[in-house]
Amino acid sequence: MDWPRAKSLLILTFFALNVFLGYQLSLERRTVATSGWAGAAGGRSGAEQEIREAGVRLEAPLPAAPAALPLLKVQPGKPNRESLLAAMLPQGGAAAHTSTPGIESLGVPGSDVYEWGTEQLFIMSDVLVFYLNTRPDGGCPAPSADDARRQADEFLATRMGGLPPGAAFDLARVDGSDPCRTAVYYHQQFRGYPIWGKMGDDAEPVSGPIKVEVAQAGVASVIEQYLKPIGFTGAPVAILDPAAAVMKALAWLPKEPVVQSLELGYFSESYCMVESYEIAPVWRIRTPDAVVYINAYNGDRVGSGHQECQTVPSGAGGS
Amino acid sequence: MKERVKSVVLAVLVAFSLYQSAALWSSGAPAPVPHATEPVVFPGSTAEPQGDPASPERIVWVDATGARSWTDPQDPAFAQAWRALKATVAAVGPQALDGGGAAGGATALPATPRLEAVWPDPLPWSVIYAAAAGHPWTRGDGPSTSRVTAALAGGKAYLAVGNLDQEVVVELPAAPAELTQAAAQLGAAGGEAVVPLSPPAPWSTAGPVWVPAQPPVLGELAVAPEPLPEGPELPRAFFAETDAVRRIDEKGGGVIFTDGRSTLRRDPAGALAYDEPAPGTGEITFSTAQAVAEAARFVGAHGGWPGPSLIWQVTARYPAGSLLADNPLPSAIVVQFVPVVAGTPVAGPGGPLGVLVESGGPAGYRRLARAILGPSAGSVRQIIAPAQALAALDAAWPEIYPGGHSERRIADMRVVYFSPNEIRGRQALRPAWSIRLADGDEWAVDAYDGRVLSTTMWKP
Repeated sequence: MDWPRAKSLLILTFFALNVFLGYQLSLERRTVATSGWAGAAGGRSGAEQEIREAGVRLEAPLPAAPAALPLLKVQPGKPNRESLLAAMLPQGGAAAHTSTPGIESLGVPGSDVYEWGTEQLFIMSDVLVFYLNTRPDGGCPAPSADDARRQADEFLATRMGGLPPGAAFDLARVDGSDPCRTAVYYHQQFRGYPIWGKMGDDAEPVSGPIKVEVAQAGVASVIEQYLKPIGFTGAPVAILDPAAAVMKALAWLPKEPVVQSLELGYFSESYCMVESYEIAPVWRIRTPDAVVYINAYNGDRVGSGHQECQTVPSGAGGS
Repeated sequence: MKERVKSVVLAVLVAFSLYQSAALWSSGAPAPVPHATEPVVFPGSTAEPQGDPASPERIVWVDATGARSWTDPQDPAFAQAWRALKATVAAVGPQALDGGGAAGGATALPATPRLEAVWPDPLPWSVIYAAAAGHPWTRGDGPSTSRVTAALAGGKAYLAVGNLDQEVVVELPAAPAELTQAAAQLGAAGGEAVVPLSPPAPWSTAGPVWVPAQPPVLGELAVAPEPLPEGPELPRAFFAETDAVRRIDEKGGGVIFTDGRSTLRRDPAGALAYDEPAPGTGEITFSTAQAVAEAARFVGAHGGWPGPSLIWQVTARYPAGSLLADNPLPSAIVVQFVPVVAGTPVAGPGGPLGVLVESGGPAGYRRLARAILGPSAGSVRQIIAPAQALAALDAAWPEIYPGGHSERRIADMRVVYFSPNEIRGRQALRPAWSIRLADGDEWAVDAYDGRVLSTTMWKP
C-alpha cells in the first residue's frame, strides 16, 4: 500500500467535499437569512414603477427579501398558569373558580373560569387565555393609540405576568367590532421574522397573537394565544417578491391605496387541538384602513374566513 | 515530517466535512419533493378501475316458468349477459330511453324469458346509458332506475328501463343475436335461485326486492387497514404543488395537510378527507353520468382504486331552501363507490370511496379503504334468513328510533361484508344484511347473530 499517495488522494477528495458542502451551506444560510433581506426582487425600481402604475402610493420603498423561505413549525404555547394566576387574581380576595368538564366525545379538555368583581379569566384547553372586564366601557371615543398602548403595556406587565418571550408591540387601531375601543396588538418574532396571528373576534386578521382592547374605563379584554416556534422545516420554497404581493393584495384594498408598510413574516391561523403545525410566510400590506396578509408562496389572501382546523372528524367514518 | 503534516491536514479536512454535513443536516433541508405529474396510486391500488364501477351488481335471469336466478360479475355468464344488454341499450339509443316513452315504444313487457340488470341503488338513466353505451349521456338525466330489463318474445326483443311507477318499454324489431345467445347461456348455466322478499308484518316492500331463495353459506372476510403512504407521498397524491403544503399534527394522531386552499386530513382511523374550496358554486348543468365519470377519474388520479368497485349510491344535493317541487338543478352530486369481493359489496362506515362533484368539478373526497386479505379460514356458516334479520331490526326499532319512525317499507335488502369505522391490524369482516328503507335510511344486521349495526357513512 502506497500510504503517502493514498493520503494525498484523500486530502484532495475531502478538500473537494468541503468546498461542495460549504457552498451548499452558504446557499442554505443565504436563503433563510434573518436580517438584511437581500432577495432578487427587493427594491427594484421597475417593480415600484409597476405598482405605482396600478394606482398604489408607496410610503416606504419596497423591502428587499429572500428569494425563498421554508415553512416554520410551531406549537401552541402553554400559558404559565401559576404566574398568570398569581398576577391576575386579587390578593387576599376571593375568586370563584369553575371548571367545565369539556366535551369528552370530542376529546376537548375543559376550561378553567375565574370570576371576581367585574373581572373574569378563562384559560381554555390550556392554550388560550381570555380576560374580560364587564364594567361599563365609559363611552366613546376610543382612547388614542398612544394612550391605549400605554395602558395595554402596563396591564400585560402587571396583571398578565408580562409579555411572552419574543413578543412585541405591533400596532394599535380602533377595534373593528367596537368603535369605542382601541385594539392594541402584539406579535411574536422568530429569528427576526414577525409571526402574526388571527384573533378569534376579528372578522379579518389584523395582528396577534395577543390583542388587548382598551376602552375609556381601561382595559376591557385581553386575548392571548401564544405560539412556541420550533424552527424552520422543509426546503426553502420560492416566494413572491414584494411588488407581486402588493399586486395580489389590490383585490382587497381600496382604490388607489396608500401602502404604509410592506413586511415579510409568518402567519398562524387559530388552530384547535393540535400538537404542532407548520405556518407559511406571508406578506403583510398595511394601509391606513386595512391590513391584508398574502400567502408568500401562492398569493392567496390569508386568514379570511377559511377554517382549516377540524375538531370533529368529517372523514368517511364521520356522520 | 511531511507525512505527519499530511495526516494532520487530512484529519482537519475530515473533521470539517463532518461539521459541515451536520450543519447541513440540521438546517432541515430535505430534497424537494417532485411535483405530481402523474396519478399517485397507493400501495395495492390501481389507477384504472378493475372492471366497470358503473356495471350492474347482478344480472337476474327469469326463465319461461318465471323462476329467477342471478349471477354476479364473477360468473362468466354475467359478462356475456352484460355485453348483450349493453348492445341492446346501444341499439335502442338514448332518445328512446329519454323519459316519457318514445316512438315505437311498446306498452308492456312480455313476461318471460327475460334478463334484468340490477344496480345497488336507483341511478339516473344517464349513468346507466353511459355505462351501457360506453360514452357519456349529456342530455339531462331522465328518471332514476335500478333495473334494465331485456325480454325476448316471438323473435323480437323488448327493452324496459325504469321502476314500476314509470317504465319505458321499447320494442326492437329483431332480437340481437348476442341477447339470444346470452339468454341461452344463462338458461343453461343457471345461477343462484332468488325469490321475491316476503317480509313479515309490519314490513312491506317498495317494489320488487329479490333475495336468495336459500340463505347463502358465507365466511368472514379478512381485511386490514389500507397501507397509506407516509411522509410527502401522501400529500403528493392530492396536491399538484407540494412545496408549500403545510402539515398540522392534531392531538390524537390525526394529520392535516393544507396549501391554504385545499385540505387533506388523515384521521387516526386512516380515513382520508380531501376538500377543495368550491371551484364552482353554481348549479350543475351537466348530466349525472358526467359527474360519475369525473368522480371515477378523480379516484383513479388520487390514490387509485383499492380493488374491484361498484357504484353504491349517487345522491344529488340541492341548494339550501330549494323545493324539489320546483325541479331545481343540483348544486352537487355525491358518488359513492364500494369495493366488491366475490360478488359481495364491502359496505358500512369503512370501505366506500366518496366523491363530491360540484359545478367546477370534484370538490370533496372521502376514503377509508381496506386491504382485502381474502377469506378467513374456517369460518364458513349459513347466514340468517331475511325474515330473521328483519325481526332483529324490528326488535331494535325502539332503540334506534327512540322518537318513533313509521317507515317500514323496504327499498332494498342485500348481503354485504360489514366494514366498521375503525379496525386495528388484521380483522375479519362478518357478512350482514344491508336493509335500505324507502325513505333512504339504511341499517345493517349481522348475518350470523342478528345484531343491529350502525351504517353511518359519509353523506352530503
